[in-house]
Amino acid sequence: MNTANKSNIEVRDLEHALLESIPIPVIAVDKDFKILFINPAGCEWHKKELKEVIGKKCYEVLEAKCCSVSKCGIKRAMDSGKKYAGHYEIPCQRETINVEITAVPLKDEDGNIVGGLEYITDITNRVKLENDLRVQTRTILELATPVIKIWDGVLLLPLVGAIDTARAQQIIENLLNSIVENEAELAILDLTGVPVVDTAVARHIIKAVNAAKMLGAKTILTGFSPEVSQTLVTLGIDLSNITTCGSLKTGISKAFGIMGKKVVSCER
Amino acid sequence: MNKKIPIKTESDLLFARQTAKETMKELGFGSADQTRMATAISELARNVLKYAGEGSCSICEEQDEREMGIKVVVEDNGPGIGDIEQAMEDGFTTRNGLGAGLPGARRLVNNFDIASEPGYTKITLEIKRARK
Amino acid sequence: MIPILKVKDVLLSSIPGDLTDNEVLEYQSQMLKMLEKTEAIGVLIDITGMEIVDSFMARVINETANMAQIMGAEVVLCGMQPMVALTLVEMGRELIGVQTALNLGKGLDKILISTKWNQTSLNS
Repeated sequence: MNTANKSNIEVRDLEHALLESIPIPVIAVDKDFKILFINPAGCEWHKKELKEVIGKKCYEVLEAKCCSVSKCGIKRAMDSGKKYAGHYEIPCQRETINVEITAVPLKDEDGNIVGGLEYITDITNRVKLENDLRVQTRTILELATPVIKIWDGVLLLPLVGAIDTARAQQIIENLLNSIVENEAELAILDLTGVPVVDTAVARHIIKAVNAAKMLGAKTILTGFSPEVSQTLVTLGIDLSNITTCGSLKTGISKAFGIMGKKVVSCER
Repeated sequence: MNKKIPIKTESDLLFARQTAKETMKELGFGSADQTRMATAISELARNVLKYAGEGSCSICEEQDEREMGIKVVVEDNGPGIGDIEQAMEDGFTTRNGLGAGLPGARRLVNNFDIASEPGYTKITLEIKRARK
Repeated sequence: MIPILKVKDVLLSSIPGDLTDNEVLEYQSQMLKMLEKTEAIGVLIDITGMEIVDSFMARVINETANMAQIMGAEVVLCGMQPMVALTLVEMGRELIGVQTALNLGKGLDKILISTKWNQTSLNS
């Protein structure tokens, strides 16, 4: 297996032995995609014998999904002269295997590109974990921003947990869409469950109130704890144009007041 | 997939923002992002018509496994923006009292880039979102 | 041309989405002329059809409302799309000094309530 001479790529014995024994599939090809080198892990990955493939064109003997000319990692690396890394999905029996292919161009002493080398990393588990995480994040986002219709034309949004920009966006979109869907004239944003209201959070909330106002709905903010009120004033955040209440209870009674309704005791 | 729409009349402006909206819908963007990008295009295309007379709007998809993205490039061969910093200030206007054009558009997108010299102005807008 | 209807003492118009600058400016002057001619007490501007409102359109609509207010009419803007409201707020282009309502029905209610109050205060 004296491929090194053919390609002007010198592989010393030790390095060769290292590449041979490394458990990651490694393949090297020349400019015409003829396979110059493939290590045992590579043979096993492609389920081929060494002598079946060596010296053959890689796309003829290795039937990989990413082999279509435009997606070939080695081709991209050779064309650009730079390292290329890409993710690929490979259907395998009933499952899909996710791999990351990293390809580098091989250069001769003068720096001319004479071929390419790629190694394949199985990232199926990582991709699966990432997908799980994404699903969970979405579930949490949905759980954490419910919109409750507490009376005809009155919506309640209990906000729970830390609010970052992504969540704030979601809350605002949710609020505005629900106002229109329910023809709500009043929305109560309850901040009891929000641990920290800083400048960023306050800005998002003010944005929500102003947008709701343009739709024709009034917003009442409730659940301001002493700590939160202190922070807001210390930060110099002006909420004087917005109706605010200490507790959700007073907020609801204020909402009824605005709607021209009151709660009375009935005889039992 | 790339689409380049010439901006010569107001109906081109309407067409450009509609195209961006539809492209984003196909890519899976929510209606808030669609509206943001379409509004930003509207602001910029309006500037093109007003200051340069004509120009173009290119819409291209930019996506990979983790993110979906859309990039819009609005170009013209008009007089260029003299003082970009000043133009990005709120309330800046040189004609007809229309202040919020550039700074407004910038607030609507994730990435906003201006390159301008006399005879060529190129503004790039980008919205990116993680895939759900 | 955008039709402007007179329903009792209220001028009612719906602005479509694909409007050019000239059309909206023409609408503005038309609306004000009609207000002068009919002496209507209320103006209801419905923008349900506008899926995109940029700063120019927002300004013209806002100004139209303010102009009609100066002429003594009760003005209500109704039917703004939620994402339009969001975009305008993000751009820092809130509408200033205009009453808003969720839809045509609620807008009409608002006008009737405030004009009724005006009339009684005139009469008494």
